Amino acid sequence: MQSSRRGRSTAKTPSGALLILRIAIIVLPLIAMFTPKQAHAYAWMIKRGYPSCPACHADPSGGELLTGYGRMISQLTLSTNWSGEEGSGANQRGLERKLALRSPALRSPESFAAGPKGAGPEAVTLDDDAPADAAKEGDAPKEGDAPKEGDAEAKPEEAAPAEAPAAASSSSSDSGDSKFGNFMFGAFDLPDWLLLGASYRHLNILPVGGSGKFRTFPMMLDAYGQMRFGAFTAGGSIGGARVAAGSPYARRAQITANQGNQWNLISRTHYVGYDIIPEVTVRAGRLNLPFGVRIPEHTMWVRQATGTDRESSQEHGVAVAYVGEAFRGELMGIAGNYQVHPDKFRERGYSGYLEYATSSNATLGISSLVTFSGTDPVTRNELKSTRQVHGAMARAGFGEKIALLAELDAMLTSRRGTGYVGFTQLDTEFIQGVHVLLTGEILDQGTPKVAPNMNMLVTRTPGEGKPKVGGWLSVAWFVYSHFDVRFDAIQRTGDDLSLLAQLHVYL
Amino acid sequence: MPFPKSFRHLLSRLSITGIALLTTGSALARPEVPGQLQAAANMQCVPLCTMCHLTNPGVKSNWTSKLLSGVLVTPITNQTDIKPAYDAWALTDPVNAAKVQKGIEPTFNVDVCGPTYGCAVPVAKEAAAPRDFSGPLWIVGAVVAGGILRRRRKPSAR
Repeated sequence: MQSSRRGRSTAKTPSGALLILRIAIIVLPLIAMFTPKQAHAYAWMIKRGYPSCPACHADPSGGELLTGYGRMISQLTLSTNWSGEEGSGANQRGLERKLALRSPALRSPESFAAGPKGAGPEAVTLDDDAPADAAKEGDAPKEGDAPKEGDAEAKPEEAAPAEAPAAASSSSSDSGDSKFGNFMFGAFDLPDWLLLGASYRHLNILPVGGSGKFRTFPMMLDAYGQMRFGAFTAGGSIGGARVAAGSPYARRAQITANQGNQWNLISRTHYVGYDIIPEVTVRAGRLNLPFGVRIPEHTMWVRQATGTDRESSQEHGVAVAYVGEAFRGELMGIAGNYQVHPDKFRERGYSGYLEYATSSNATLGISSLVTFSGTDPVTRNELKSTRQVHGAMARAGFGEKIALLAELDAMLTSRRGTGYVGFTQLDTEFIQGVHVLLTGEILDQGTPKVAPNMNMLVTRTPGEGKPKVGGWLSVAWFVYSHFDVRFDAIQRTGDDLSLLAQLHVYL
Repeated sequence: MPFPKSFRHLLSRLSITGIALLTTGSALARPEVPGQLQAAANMQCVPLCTMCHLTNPGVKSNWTSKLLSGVLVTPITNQTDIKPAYDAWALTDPVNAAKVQKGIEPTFNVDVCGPTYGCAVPVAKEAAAPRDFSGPLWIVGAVVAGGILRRRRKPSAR
């Protein structure tokens, strides 16, 4: 039903798209002129043959709000399987069956284009007692099997006719547990055009061996949603944050203007979008910067030093996202963050990435970012500055249990030597839902160049002229649909060992 | 199967380098101090590190300002509340304290106010700042782009 609606809107694309582009080009700067600031993307899902993001997330490059399909994935393959069936193979079988029930046209997820924007109805049920369960055991893919290209599209379509009646009964099922993965644990059936979600993430930090103190605080308290009317979308997030004066976190997403340690209303993203064709989406608003591997660890240097994390580094602008069979990418024109004042602190330019799927579970990509601002992005001195970050990234899955993510970027900033930042993360999941992650990172932002009239010696310090390194040992357990916990031990050059424990509840 | 000797050498060198890098001491100043100073001095904005240091971010060795030398060094080093020390200094040097409250570095009289955040933030108009034409330029660009698109479409419509 949804795909037919999308088909009609696609037919009207050329004139409609031009109109929307014109409106966006005019309206966005006007909004910007007259307006005085993590659920997460899990890039390691590639090991299960999910190289792409829009099938599970409303954001075409991944992160935050889940689609109906994403909620199914979360319940069936992301979380620990408590059903007693063997491994993720059984869950994968269940997933394919549910896909067939819901949307025969939805492609299996081993290509980038798999189910682009496949939000689907939110009211997905996961009733294992439905008649559709009568799948032949022999047809079930074995755990660790790589999805076959040819089978990808055939399976759901073959299954659809016989199981269609079950779909109807399934979606109207009243069985409580079956809707647990949906919004608010299935308390509400949302209409097809609406996606809603909310996240509460609580963090505890214990520095070991230093003078730092134990801290416990809500790291994330956000609600987000997206409405879809044909090819049009509108969405965003709203939440609350309370950070110390001078904290680099949450500030840039503030809506309210408290500058101290009071509570503030924040909005990390807000946007309107239009699907020119199913593979191409244009969005305008405050958006995550498309750059690098979209990891949830916003303090990882590779995201923090490049200013491309999803904590509060989003910018206002217009972005075009493409999700094709082998390529995906997004390019964003950055108009500046209009929740930061005055204007001299805003950065303008572009950010984008292009990723190529070399196989169903391996990708290679490049990213590029160039911004200009009236102040130095590091020193904040009032000097016109250019910031460039260019790099390469790779993701690969080795069977269903191991994934490897990597990124290396060169940083060229005004009045600094060339710097670099990189990370490599090994994700292992030998028990479904339990991830043990080993991450190494390196950072050198470049040696600061001091103006000739300043009579001082430039000191090369770790991170500024000298490399500094960090190591993370992490355990993330997706206990059950909607719930996960994570523990990190982080050791970085010059810092005390930090132990982090966090609880995440996703509605 | 034993690893080749060259591989073991490489591994041991990497380990030593990693340990050395991980344990190198930081020369950076403490990043939480600007926020503490904002609260202590009741400032409108978070000051840049250049309020007290030659560089931003500041390092331990390049303190510059009247404010830091002998005033805030002790509480910052001891990681105690800086407000009592600041208040005591403000009483003895009210002229410079007034500058600090406005976000002006008292030694060189430079504006070191960092950004402010949120929508509808009351921001004083920048007196000598060059006018930002980016907004009108966007609109002009959009109109020109629209015109070009329209001209391109007309021939195909015939």
